Amino acid sequence: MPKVTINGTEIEVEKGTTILRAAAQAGYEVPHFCYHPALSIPANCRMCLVEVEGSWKLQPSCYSQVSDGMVVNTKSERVIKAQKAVLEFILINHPVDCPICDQAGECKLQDYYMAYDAQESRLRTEKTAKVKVFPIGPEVLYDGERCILCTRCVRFCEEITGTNELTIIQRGDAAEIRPFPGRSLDNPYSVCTADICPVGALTSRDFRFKCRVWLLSSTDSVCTGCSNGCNIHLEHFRNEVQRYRPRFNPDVNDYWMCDAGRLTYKAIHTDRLTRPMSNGAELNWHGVSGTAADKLGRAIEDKGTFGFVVSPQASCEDLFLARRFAKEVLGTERIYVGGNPDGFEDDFLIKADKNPNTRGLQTIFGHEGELRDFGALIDDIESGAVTSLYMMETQIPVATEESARFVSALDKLDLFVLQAQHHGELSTKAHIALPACSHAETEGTFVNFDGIAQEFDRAFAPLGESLPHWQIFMRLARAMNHKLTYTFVHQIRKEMFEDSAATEEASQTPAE
Amino acid sequence: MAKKLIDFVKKHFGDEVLDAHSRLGNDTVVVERGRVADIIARLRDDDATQMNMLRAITCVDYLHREPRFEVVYILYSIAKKHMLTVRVVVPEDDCNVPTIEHLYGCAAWMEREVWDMYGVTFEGHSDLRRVLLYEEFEGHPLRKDYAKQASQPRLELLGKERDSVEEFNRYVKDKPSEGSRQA
Amino acid sequence: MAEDIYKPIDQDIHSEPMILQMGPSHPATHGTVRFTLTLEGEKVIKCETEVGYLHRGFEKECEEATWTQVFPYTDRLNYVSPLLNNFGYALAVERLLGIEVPERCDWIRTIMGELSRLSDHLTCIGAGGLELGAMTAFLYAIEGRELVWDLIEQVTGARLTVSYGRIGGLKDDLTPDFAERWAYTRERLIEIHETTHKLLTRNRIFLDRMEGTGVITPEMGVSYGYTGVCLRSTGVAYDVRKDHPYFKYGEVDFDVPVGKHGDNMDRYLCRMEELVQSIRIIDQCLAKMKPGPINTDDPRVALPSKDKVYNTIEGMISHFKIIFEGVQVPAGEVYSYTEGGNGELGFYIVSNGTGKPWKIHVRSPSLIVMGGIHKLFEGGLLADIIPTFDTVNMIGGECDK
Repeated sequence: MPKVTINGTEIEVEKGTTILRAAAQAGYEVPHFCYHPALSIPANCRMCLVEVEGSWKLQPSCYSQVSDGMVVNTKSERVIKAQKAVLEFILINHPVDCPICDQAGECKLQDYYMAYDAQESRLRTEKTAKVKVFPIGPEVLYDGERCILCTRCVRFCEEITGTNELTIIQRGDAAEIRPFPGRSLDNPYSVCTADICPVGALTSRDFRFKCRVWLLSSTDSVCTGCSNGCNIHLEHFRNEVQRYRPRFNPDVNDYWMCDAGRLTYKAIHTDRLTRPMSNGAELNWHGVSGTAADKLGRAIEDKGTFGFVVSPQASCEDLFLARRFAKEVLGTERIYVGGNPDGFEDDFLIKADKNPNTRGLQTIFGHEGELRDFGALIDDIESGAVTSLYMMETQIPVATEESARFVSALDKLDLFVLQAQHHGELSTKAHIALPACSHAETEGTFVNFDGIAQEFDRAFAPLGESLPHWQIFMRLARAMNHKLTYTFVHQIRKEMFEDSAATEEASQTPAE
Repeated sequence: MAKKLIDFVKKHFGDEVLDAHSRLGNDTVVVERGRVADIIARLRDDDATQMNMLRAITCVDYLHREPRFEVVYILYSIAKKHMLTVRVVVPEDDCNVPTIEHLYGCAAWMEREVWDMYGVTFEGHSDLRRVLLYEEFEGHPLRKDYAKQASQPRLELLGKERDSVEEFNRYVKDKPSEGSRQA
Repeated sequence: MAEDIYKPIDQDIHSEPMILQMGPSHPATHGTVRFTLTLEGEKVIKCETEVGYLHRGFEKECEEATWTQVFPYTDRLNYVSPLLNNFGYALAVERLLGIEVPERCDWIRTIMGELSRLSDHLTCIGAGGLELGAMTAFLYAIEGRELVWDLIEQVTGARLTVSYGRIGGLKDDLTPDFAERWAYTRERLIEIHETTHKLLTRNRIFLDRMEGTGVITPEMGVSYGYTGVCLRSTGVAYDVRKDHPYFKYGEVDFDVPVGKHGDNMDRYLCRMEELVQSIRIIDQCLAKMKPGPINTDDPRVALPSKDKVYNTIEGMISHFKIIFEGVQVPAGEVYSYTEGGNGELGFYIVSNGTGKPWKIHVRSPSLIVMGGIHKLFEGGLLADIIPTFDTVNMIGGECDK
């Protein structure tokens, strides 16, 4: 294992480690633009130049590997001069856009200028003008003037998605990024290029001018778009989610996430059911608990015909309590699976199963024959085998014609209780609609398609009067004189893991 | 200035000293809390130091560090013109420090302020109650986990809610009219 | 003294002490403070002080503002001498940053600080006279204060809440006609000073009420943390400007008046003399200062000029980051102290290396004075509370933070 001395600190690193990585290991930051740990190393920005003893020229630390006995200085006078020079060159044609640029506050140029340059401009002529709002893709905009031609986006399209849409056209100070003729940046991961762009050249159309980044609070969460469970930073301001940004997880999604998943944040604030309703009238929790308890009590006496739909959109803790509620309070054996129907899938991150917690659901309701198909539910309602229905969430995993059948079949039910996040056809038909909160407003665990259990945190308090699923089950149980008492999510989690033997295989917690 | 104050404390109370530095010209010692009253008494009374003025007592909340609080005493000598900062490390679950109320007259209120804002109790303090906030205030606002916008419960006046507007209206209604001017 | 008159009557009449609330809003106490007085006849035997009616959470607010955004909050501490608070805070942050300000900035800080001190002392003397019934003295003092505030308004743009100090410098230079306006102002101030002396200092009523009342002994003063005029009136010659000179106090000649008896009269006389000394300091500063920059050019702190901000990306980035993220002050803590209007104004600042303070503690002289004020009242008459409370000059904003 080669030993290298960086700024006077000697450390031992793996063979093949680059100087930049070794410096990071020793605790020294070396500024860089074009280097990205998941992409190939072009060494074109020249920001990471460091002084290596024995070499007259400064070396690009992102590319050069350490050799045993190497002595590196990342803060020498020559290095500082080089950093100032590189930044000066990059800034010569950089437009004065900070007030209108989305990247301000998370911009590498800004950060490095303050930390490594801090010199005035020596430019006495005009800056080069280029197209500023080029629609490079359906989700991404390109600003040629801001671009520093680090080629991270080009390499991303070559190496990660394999779609090869982008290239550099022209040369010298007229060089820009463009898609190849006839192409557009339309791969399913296009907004990742805006994530990795160190400046504001590539920006997300959805997030454009939405919120300044220093106003955002970031919460560690998990995307609910499909069963891949990409880790995200859920960024919110004033209790409203503004965007998702991928969080690094080498086991699940690396640095990336798909565009469709990014946009699922909109569901948190669209058509939310925020107050308990009974036949269209808004109530408060106290009133509706009593009403629900009555109606459920009467429906239970009619044994054998109570249907319960559990949703793979809910967290493991919610489902654990759903199981206890269904078994102990309602006493029903008819448990059906809801959720979103399957959709587009690719060989990278996007999975066909558009529910975040299918594996979790299967693990909790792990016993043979416990879960029934949703199609069977529609048949059962139509035939009268099910006369009362308690449904979690509004998603229905069947095709459109089938779902229309389901909605019309609901008229046959004596009692339809819906516990969901959103308004819609189902909530207007429900005899009792209980507002549940989204994953942004509570804590919980999702188990992804691979069996990895991932925890998500709470970003803000539940909207309106909604409550997490598990708390709603507890309230109803209490109103029906059953004891399901938990105060904190971690209590449920503990019991859940102890309880189910099968969850041992799914208990690998992800890297933070 | 120099390090002679730090050396003095180390010489006489070496076991209690956890750390010492003179960064930015402020001589500082970090000590165990057990004998802080003795240390400060010695600093006050000894001829070599004569720290007869207590400039400030305050507390710093290092939220994600264990121990969480550090109570800071800033001592000064008017005659010798030197200053020493004495810091005492206080863990969150055992949040108290011996009082120095008997050493300086101003320490009483300064310690009350630290109690009020941070919730650090001072053992032996004769009258440890809030000084800047009202008695019924809940929580200790300068702690880092106290949200700035946190709201406080309404107080009940004299044990029952009194609506002063209603009372006034009733009074006016019941008051015998005394030739009121009706324009 | 007073007790002798009362003793025989006390022996004859069975009486109970009366508890009197000298409540938070009282016309003769300038500032919201509540005293629960236990009176025996006219004598105060016990006094319980309750402060905090003006507590606005200064220290908590500062933790959520950037370093520069704290300046308007400091204005509202001792609001009759806001410039002294501004500069005291700026000095503390500059120490943490390790930057030096240009010379002219130090001269101007000295001048403006002394103007604020003039304003503070004039308010105290005037209000003191007013509460003892001397309306004329009050009006003269307020006239003086108005002149000082005119000057301050010319330079800073505001009379009271000035926010004039900046980290590494000042908001703006002095106006070009400052020396001229000062020449006129100082003449009038000296006249006002003389007139107030004539009205009050040998006035029988004033002497009777102020001499021998509210006595602080030197031991009590030091032990109770009194500083400034309160301590100097007892004979302890402690003035931060002389003992630990900062700004340009080391380069100007001035005297610090020190009393003997520690009573209200001495505090009044000290403040009167400090008025004269402040005028002296300002004169010398104006004579000695030279033109030059008023802000440091350290790139961590200095905002670029507006034409550079709008026309160059470097200026834009610099301005953007310094404003939005705040000046990045290295981690550490420092206790920095200056001579405020009422005593030693200290700022204990803790930084965690970011653009927002981790903690700012204000060592406010007024709060500490209130801690010991019961000792000044107890044993004296009810009527003595008024002049005592006046001359210690408790300012509500500073006391309650």
